[in-house]
Amino acid sequence: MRTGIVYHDRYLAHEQYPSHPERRERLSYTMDQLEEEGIFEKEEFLLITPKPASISDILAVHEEDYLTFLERSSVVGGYIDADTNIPPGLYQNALLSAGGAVAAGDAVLDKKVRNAFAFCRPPGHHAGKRNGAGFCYLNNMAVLVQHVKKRGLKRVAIIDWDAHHGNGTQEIFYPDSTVLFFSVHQYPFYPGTGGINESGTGAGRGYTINMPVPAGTSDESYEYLFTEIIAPVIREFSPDCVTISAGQDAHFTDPLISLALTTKGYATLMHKACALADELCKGRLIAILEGGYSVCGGLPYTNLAILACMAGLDTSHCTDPQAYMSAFPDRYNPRSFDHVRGMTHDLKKILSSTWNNIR
Amino acid sequence: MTGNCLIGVDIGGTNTDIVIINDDIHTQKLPTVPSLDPILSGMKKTGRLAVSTSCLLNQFLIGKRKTVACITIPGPGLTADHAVCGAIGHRGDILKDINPTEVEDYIRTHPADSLAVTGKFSVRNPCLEEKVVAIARKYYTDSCIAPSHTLGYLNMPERIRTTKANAALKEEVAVLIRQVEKYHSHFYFVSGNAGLVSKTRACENPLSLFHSSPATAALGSYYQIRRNGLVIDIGGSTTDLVPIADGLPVNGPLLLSGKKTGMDAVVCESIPYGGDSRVSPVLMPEREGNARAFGGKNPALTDALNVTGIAAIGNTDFPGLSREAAETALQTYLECVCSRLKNSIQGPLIGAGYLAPYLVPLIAKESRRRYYIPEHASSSNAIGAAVSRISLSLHVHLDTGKEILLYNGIPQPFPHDTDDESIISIAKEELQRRAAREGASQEDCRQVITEQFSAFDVITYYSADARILDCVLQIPPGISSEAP
Repeated sequence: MRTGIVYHDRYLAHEQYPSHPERRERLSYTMDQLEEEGIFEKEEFLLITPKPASISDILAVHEEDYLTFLERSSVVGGYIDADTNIPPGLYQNALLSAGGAVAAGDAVLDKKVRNAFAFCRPPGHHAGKRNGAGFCYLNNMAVLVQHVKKRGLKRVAIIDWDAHHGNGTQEIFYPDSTVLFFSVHQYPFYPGTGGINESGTGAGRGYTINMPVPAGTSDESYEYLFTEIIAPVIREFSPDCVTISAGQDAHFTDPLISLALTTKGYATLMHKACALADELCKGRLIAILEGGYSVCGGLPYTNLAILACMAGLDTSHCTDPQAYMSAFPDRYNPRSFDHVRGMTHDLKKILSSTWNNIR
Repeated sequence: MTGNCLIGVDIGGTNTDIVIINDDIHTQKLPTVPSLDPILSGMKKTGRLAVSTSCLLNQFLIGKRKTVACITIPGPGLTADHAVCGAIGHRGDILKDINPTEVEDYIRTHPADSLAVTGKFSVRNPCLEEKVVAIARKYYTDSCIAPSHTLGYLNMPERIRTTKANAALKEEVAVLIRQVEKYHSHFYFVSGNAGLVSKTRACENPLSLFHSSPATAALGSYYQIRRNGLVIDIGGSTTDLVPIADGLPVNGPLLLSGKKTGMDAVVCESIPYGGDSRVSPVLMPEREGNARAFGGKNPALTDALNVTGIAAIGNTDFPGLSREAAETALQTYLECVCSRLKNSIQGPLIGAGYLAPYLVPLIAKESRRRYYIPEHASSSNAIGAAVSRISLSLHVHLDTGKEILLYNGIPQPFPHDTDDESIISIAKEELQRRAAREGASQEDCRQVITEQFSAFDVITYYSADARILDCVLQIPPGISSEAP
C-alpha cells in the first residue's frame, strides 16, 4: 500500500504577517524538493486533497466559545498572544489544516494508504481546548485522534518530536488513558511546560510522557529515548494507530531552537516509528506537520527523508548537504547525552508504576 | 510571412502529404520513402514550410534504438541510477562540485551512441550539468549529448526520462534537418502540442515532436470546418482519436511508456488498426506493407472496404478476401473504434485521413453521432502543419537574494527592476522577442498566457531580504494569423 501526502495549495495561504517564522516559505522549499524528486508521480505515494474539518470534529476537541472567537476574529483580524495573532481569513485556513489531519486519518482507516503525512499549516500542538498559542489555533493532532476514535479505534499513541513541548495536546488528553502522549522537546524552552513530572492525571496518569532534553541534543539521544522509553511503552500500550506530531525544528540548522538532530536522525526516528506501527497496528501511522523553521536549510531534506521512510524508499542518500555540516559542531553538545541518560533514569522511576516494560 | 504561401508536409509511415496554401488549398500525396529527396526536390521553394512527422518517434519506440549512456547528479535526497557526486540546492547553490575524474571515468567505461545528463535542481543552476557536458565533448559530438536543464521544469525523474529520449533522438532530428535544409533552408517542425518549433528547439528537445501528426490532423480539421469535436484520423497503421475544444487540440501530459515526461502534447488515443492493417483471416493489429489495393501482398482493411462495395479505392481486382471475411474485418474495426468513443469528448466526429470518407460515416452511424468530413480530409495533417503558428514556453525563475534570473534553466543578466510585474513584463517581452526571431508575425506573438505563477518572500531575521518567483509563460499554439 501507498503513503498518502495530504496537501492543498491553500496551506501556503496562511500568514500572520510576512516576516513571521511560521510562514508560507516553510513549505515552499519542501514542495520544490518533493516536486524535483518526482514524489508526486511515484507509485509509492498518493496525493490527497483535504477538505475543511467539520465543526463536529473540531468541537470534539475545542470549546464552542473558543471556536466562535476564532471565527469572529478572522473577519477583521485579532490577537491571541505575542507569537499568535489572527489574520483575516484564519478560520477557514485553520479548518482546512485540521481537515488535512482528518483526511490523513480517513485515508489510513479506509485502507487507501498504509500511512500518511499531512503537510498542513497552520500547525496545532500548542492549541488547547479553549485557547490558541505558539503559532497554533486548532489542535490538528487532537482533532485527528478524536476523529479516528470516533471511527472505532480504541487506543492511539502520539509521538510529538517537535522541539517545543506539545502542551496543547498534553492538556487535551491529560486525563485520558486511551491516548498515550510522548513529547521530546528542548527544555527549558517555550512554552515552559513538559517536565518529567507532568505525567497525566486520574485514569490518564502515566499516559503523558515528557522527555525534556537540553540544547545541543542530537541523534544518539533521540535513538536512546526511542529504545529506552518510547518503544517499550508503546508495545505495552498496543495502540491501534501511531501518530506523529512531526515538527522538524529539532534540526541543527533550525534558527529558533538549539537542538542538533540531523536529517539522518529524523530518518532513523521515522524508521523506528514505522517499524513499531508495522509490529503493533498493521502499519497504521499518521504524521502531521508541526514546526520546523529552517526553511532554507534542513527542512526540505528532513521532510523528504521522513516521507521516504514512510514509503519504504531507499534513504541511504537522505542526508544533510555536506555544505551545511559546518554548522553542526557549534550546535552539538557532546555532554547532552549524559544529561539525557540521567533524565531517562529519573523518568523510568515515574513510569514504572504504570508500565511493566519500564523497570 | 516568409515567401507568399504556407507549406505543410506530414511524413507518415505510409504516405507523405504535402499541402500548399495560398488563396486555395493544393494537396499532394506521395508514398513515404527512406529519402526525402524525391519529395522535397519537386516542392515549391518559397513560402513558410512546416514539417510534422511521427516517424522519428515511431522508430524510437519500435525500431532499433540507439544506446544511451546516462549520468545523473542526484546529490542529497533520493538517489538515481548512474549517479556521480555533485549537488545543487533548491536555490541554485552549489552544495558539492562534481569530480571531473569520476565523470570522465564513467563516460569512458560506459560507451554508448549518445549521452543524457541530468542533475537535481539543474534548472536552478545548470553549471554542474554544463561541466559534465564539457567533459563529455571529448567523447561525443554535441548532437549526441542531451542535458536536462533546458527543459526548465522541476521533476528530476521526468527530466531523466525526457533527456534520455532526447539523447537518442537528437542525431536523427539533425539528419532530418540536413535533408530538408538542402531544399528549404528555413523551416519549422510541428510539436506535439500543435505549435511550430524552430529547428534549434527541435534539436534541443526532439521529444517535443511526439504526437505531431495527430496534433496537425486535429488542427487542420479545425481550420477547415471550424468545429469542435472528436477528430478520427485514420492512417495506414493506426486510427487516432484527438479531441478538439475551444478551437485547439486538447493537450495533456505527454507519456513515454506510460510515464510522464514533464511535457504536454495533444491527447491522442491510438487504436492499432488503419487502412493497411492486415486481414488474415481476421483484422490484425499489424501492418505488413500496403494493402493489395496499392500493390501490397496482403489483404488489408482498405481491401475489405473495396470487397464490401463501400469504396472503390486503387486496384480492386485482386483483393484476396471473401466478402464474409471483409465484412467481419470491417465489423471488428467499427466495434473497436466505437467502444473507444464511449468515454470520449461529446460533439461531432470529424474525419481525417484518406479512408475517412468511407469509414467515419459508418462509425458515426454505429455510435449515433453527427459527423463531418472536411473537403481535404485526406490531407488534414499537412494542412494543420501549414496553418499552425509558432508556440514558445518560458520557464522563469527569479531569486533576488542570489541575483539569479533563469529562462528555461539558462542564466540571464540580472534585471534592474525585480518586482513581480516588472519580471513578468520583461519575461513576456523576451518570449515575444524569441518568437519574432524565429519568424512569428507580430499578430502571432501578441497572445501570451501565464500558465503557472508563484512568488514569495525569503525572510531572514524577521525581514524580507529576497523574493523568489516562478512562472511559466507561453505563446500558445493555434492557427497562425497568416493563414488565409
